Amino acid sequence: MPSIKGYKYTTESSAKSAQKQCNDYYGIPVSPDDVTQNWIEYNFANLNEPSFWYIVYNESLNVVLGEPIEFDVVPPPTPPLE
Amino acid sequence: MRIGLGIGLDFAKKRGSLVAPVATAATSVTGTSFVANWNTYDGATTYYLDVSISSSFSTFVLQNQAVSAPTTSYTVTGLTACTTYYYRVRAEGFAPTISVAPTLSPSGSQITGTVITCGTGTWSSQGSIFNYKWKRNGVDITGATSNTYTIQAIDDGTTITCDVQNQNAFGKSAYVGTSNSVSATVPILDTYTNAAVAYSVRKLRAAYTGNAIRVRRSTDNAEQNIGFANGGNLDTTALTAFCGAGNGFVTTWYDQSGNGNNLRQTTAANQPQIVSSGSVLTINTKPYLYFTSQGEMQFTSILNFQSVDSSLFLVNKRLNSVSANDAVLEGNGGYIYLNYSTIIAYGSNFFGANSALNYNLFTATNDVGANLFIYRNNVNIGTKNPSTGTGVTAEYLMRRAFGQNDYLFTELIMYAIDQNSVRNDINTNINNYYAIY
Repeated sequence: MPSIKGYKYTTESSAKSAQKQCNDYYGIPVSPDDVTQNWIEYNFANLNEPSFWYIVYNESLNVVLGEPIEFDVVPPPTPPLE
Repeated sequence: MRIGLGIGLDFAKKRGSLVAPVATAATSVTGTSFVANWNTYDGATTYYLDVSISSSFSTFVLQNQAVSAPTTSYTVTGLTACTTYYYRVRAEGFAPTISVAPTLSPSGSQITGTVITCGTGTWSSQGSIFNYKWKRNGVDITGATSNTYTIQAIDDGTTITCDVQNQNAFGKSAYVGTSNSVSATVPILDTYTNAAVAYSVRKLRAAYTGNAIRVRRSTDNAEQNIGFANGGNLDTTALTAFCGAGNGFVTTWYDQSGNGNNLRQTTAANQPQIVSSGSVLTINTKPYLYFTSQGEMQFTSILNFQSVDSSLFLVNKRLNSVSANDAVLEGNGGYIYLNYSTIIAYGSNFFGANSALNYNLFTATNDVGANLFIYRNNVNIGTKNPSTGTGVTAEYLMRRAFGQNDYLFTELIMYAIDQNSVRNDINTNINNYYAIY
């Protein structure tokens, strides 16, 4: 099970709120016509028990979301091998 | 003092050819001087001035006074007031001779539709008239006689040069001003047509008028489209001008096939990088898109090559080995794995490993139910006969749910047809540009 460095949330709304904090801090989107609509993406660890939402760390996030933590995420099943 | 004008003929001191420029009215006339004037004569190196009180120039006040071109006047002094003076001018010059050959702009390798301009070169006794003859592999191109030439499809694989002739009033050179050369090439999709999707850092189709990429810069997160420069190369001048000293990230990799199936990434953290601290990322001098462990792009429309023939031409390089499973293309269970533990997969067809961190041109041609061939750098690394199972579906380029290795990409072309018969030619075209193997 891969260990992820990032930010973990128990509800989608809190993950979305963290995403919005990042967008506001970095001024994303600059223009409504821009392709870039979010600074960071949040993911759903639906195979973990209990499930949760998380954001993968990068160094631009410290200043907004603080220090990251490490946690495990159950990966999706890989396609069948021959 | 009155001033008359004469025309010079039969000049004794003959070195080059002598001709008569048009003398014009004297100026700055005083009791003892005037300024003789005449028009510029094309190609003249020296003018010779005679001054006389005789309209037939039977005697001279001043004879054969040399004035170096381009000066076209001379102050005549020491004259007598209330006297009529006449002056005449002759021009000495030579037919042009080449000293510096003309150059083509742009030069190097250029694609169909590129307009090439031939310079004049530098000539001794340079005249104002230039004539041009464009040549394809040394043979005159019919009707190509202006200073510009637009590369045609017929020029593919040939060398284009231009010969220049210069002419002045004393004569004209032969077509001796031979330029440097341009290697003419036809964009790959003009030869191998009907691609389903096509992404690249070079122009793939002459008729494609769109951009190559859309870029977000790190300094203020503004975005701008970046197109192609001469030669069909990515316009790196525009790219670096836009990004300044910061970084640049690709938000959109435009589909050049004409089908509008662009690759996009709306999340900044997942966008591949193309400029780092003001410098374009390059491999073998060509720009690349750098996908970090989170780098991923999504097709505008899911590609579905399930149960249909398909071909893939993909130029990439895996940069590390932090995970085993890299789905290069994935969607709805149909996938292409190029570093899947110990195998390569095209749909549910499995082949040997891709363990090396090499710059690769991967080629797959799938004749459904018959032959599936996989090549790496034009060497066959696997064949399925008959091919089995599902084909390929693609929703993402680099599906990060399955792998976190870093990759670089420079080109991806897919067809919904089996291109095995021209696979070698397509690979050669791609390799000629990227110098992969």
